[in-house]
Amino acid sequence: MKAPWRPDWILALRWLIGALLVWAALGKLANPQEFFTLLLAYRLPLPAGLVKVAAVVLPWLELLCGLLLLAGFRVQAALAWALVLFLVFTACTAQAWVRGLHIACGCLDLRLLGIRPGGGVAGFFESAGFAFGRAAALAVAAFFLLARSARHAAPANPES
Amino acid sequence: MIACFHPRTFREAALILIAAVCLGFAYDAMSPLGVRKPGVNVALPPETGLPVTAAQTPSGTPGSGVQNETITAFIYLTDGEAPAVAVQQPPGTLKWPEVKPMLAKGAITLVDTRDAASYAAGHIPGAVSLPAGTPAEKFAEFMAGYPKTTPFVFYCQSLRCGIAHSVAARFRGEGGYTNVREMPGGYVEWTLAESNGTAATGGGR
Repeated sequence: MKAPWRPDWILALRWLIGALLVWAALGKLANPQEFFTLLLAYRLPLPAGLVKVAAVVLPWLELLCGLLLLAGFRVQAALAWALVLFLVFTACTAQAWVRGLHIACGCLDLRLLGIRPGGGVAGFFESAGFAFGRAAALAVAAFFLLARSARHAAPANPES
Repeated sequence: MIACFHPRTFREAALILIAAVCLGFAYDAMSPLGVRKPGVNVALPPETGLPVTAAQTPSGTPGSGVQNETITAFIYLTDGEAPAVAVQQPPGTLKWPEVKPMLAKGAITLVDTRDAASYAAGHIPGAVSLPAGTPAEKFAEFMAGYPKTTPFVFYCQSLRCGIAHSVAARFRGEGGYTNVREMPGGYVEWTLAESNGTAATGGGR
């Protein structure tokens, strides 16, 4: 007898993370210089040259991981990078939030949804506080998926 | 958990990083807005607590001191080729080439909505400062100085900052101003178009 259909929450979560990573990457790739200035505004204790390299590489890391997660190809490696990225985002936004920096987080470009940046809802979504909460939640989600995939890949379950 | 990973996973993760580095540098070299273009440098406004002096402000405005942590960085150009500015902005808003002649004729009041430190570190000459975080009473004081028909143009750092839009909306709404426009490309658009490496200095790294 055919098993009843059940929603695959694990797959949905993986697609959600993948889609968010692709969205985040496209916004940054549209204007690398703007992303660079947004990164500098975080006032991280890093030399500008290193921030420049991050501005160049990070969007592509996001894009590749996002596409791999959406495609279901090399999922574990992509999840590992996603976890690293979300942990870095969590740390960066946390320090900006604690220091009271009024930054545009530069995470997800709302203009791709036709939403204009500025006050109100858009301002809230771009705030460091919300960005911190979102990055932390995504880090937890990525960790959950990664731990699950590592469990399944353990020698006790070699076939999965 | 790490011990549970197959060595293949680490190899794949390394390959993803290598691919991202290669694609990133190739894309950056091709993009007119690439951050590693020759001649593109970046300076930050001074850290909190450091006064901004007139010598650091090419637009000639003495600094008013840093009131808040500065939030913005500036791209400026040194010698060499100026990168193209791909400004895709909302309809009904202004670009710098449109604002420039109006400003020169005194036909508009240009308002810089960035924080005081950013304004002090460099701004479009002729712009007045009204930071988006200005207290309500100071805001009202500013508005009281201008008739309701004053042609205002607001700007902030760049297309992405958006605070000029919220201040402009406040002028239209609570202020009742009827001639309010925005220049969403902001300070970055002006810097790339006009400054030729002389603007936006101060606290550079």
